[in-house]
Amino acid sequence: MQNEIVLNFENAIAGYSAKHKISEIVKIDNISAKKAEIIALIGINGAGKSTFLKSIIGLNKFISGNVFLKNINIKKYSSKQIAKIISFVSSEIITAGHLTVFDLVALGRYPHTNSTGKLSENDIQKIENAIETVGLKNLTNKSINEISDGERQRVMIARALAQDTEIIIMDEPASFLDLQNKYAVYGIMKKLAENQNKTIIFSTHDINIALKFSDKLWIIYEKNIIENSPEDIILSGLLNNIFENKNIIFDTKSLDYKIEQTLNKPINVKFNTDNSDIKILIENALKRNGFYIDLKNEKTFLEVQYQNKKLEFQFNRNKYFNFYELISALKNYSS
Amino acid sequence: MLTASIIFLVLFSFIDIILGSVIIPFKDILKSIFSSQEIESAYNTIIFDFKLPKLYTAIIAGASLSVAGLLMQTVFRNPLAGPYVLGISSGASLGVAILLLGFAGILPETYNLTGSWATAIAAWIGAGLVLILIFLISLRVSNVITVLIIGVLIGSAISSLVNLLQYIGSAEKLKTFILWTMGSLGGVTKEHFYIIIPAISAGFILAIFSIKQLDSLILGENYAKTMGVNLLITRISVFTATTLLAGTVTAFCGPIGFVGIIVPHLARLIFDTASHKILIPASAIIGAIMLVVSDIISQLPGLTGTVPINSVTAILGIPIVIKIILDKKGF
Repeated sequence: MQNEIVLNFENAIAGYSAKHKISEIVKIDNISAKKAEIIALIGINGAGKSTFLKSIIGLNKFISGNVFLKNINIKKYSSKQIAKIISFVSSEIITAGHLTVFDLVALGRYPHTNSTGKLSENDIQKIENAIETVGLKNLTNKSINEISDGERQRVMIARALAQDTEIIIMDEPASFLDLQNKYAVYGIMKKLAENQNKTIIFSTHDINIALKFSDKLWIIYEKNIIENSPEDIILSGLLNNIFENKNIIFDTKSLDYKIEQTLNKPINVKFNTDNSDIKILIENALKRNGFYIDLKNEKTFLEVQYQNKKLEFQFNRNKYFNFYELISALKNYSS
Repeated sequence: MLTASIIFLVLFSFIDIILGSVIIPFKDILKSIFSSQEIESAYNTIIFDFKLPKLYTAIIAGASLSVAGLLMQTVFRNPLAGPYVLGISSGASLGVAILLLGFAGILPETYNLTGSWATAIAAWIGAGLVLILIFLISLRVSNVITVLIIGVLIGSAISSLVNLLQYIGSAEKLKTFILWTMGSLGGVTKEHFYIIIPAISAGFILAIFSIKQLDSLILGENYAKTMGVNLLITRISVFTATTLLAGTVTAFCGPIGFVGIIVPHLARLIFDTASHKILIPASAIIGAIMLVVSDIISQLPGLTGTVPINSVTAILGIPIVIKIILDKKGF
């Protein structure tokens, strides 16, 4: 059951045609999404993340190839049938006045209600459950203009939940949110996959979040999509290749990208403390300013004291009592 | 809330019948409407042949223009859309002008401008074409103010064309035409209702059948599509409804401005909802009230003659439009 493939692609090409010119952006072959999987779509700006996601839900057309939804070619489904299997959350901020959280989430029932759009007991139950799942029960009757961006994005996810689909596609669902709202959104995604067996496909720029929250990565690399688990992909070294700028390298320890800097200034550091945080902070401060630690160096010498939460640096016979002053001195010294 | 609005509408309707160039005492109105006994026949004639048709026209025109405005605002996702500002009424005028002035040789000299199917059809074609044109433009331009400006420009371009056409028509026809462009509720007679009522009813029925789709458009076309909405069919039915509603009113009353743009906002504000199930009847009733009130103002005691209804709706409407632009709150 858990290994059931819900979506797979065969030689599909996503792109767009404008003014009789077809732009092929990305080729999607031999990748699949399974039930209850969380999949992160990664790629640089303009790689075609949005175009690809929009093609799956029919806002765009695939230029060629086949897409199978639950093992049946997606072309055989009507748009209403697709709406019962795949729902969508976009990154755009929705502004609509005179609309309560409940009313907005209720719009998700569209494919399930009859032509008058009247909500049944069952519909109302689903809407309320969706609002509860994203943790906004107390805002049910609030206008969506009165809630925060993070809450509004959770409402949009609730709307997709009310649509009651097996697959939810999210285009950069947390790109404009602050850290705590980001984690709230990804926490909800995790819960949906675990408790409700939803398959979630989302695009993001945040590699760290993708690695932490997803079961599988789809990486757009040289106009192809490569799929694998986050760990397999890290091991393959692929993450170091996707940016053109070779100074951006992937750091396995922090599970994030960092910018490689040229370190050309040797400095000898003597730590008179065992505090490991202080050591990390000093290394970071030195690196940022182009220094590397060389214990044999006798020309440039830094001594660090940390006692009773009091910092003391000795550098070039001067004393400094916080990082800011030390860094200013380092900068003056090097220039 | 809807009931309260209807009570207001009835109240203003009585005031509208009382006032005018001939002021009729309230008890005579009641007598005239509800009792079978003969009363002064002059009052009877004034009420049934002049005042009531005019009142009905005000109600129908106000309701139709407002619902047309609501439909346009939803489909264009533009709070400033309306049949008048986006040139739909101008399109209808152009249709009528071409019919009346352009085909001057073909039509009999006694042709009654406001009383024929030909006028209605000319107005529908003109309104429909401009609507499609504005829609194509709005697909390329997403900024609401830009669409508004283009709509106003199209309106002016059409007015210029109409001005050119005026050189072709005879003086007699020109006069009828110019009176028509000022907008009048008084030119509609009982016979016209045989055209107006079926056309407007068809428009309303189409609008009501589109309620579910209109609601789905609140979040924009992309979301609507992913919920399985057939956008093409929705657009066709909504545009047909808009053309029937706005085109018919313009054909028989001339272009009446600003009702269609502001009433949907008032409806959203008063009823505090985005649901079209409520907004359609609410806009219809508030629109009817607004035009009946405008009619009352246009014939207030002390004024010599009747002020063109278009001037009244403009004076009432423009400040509200400016407020909407300044607020920029969207819907």
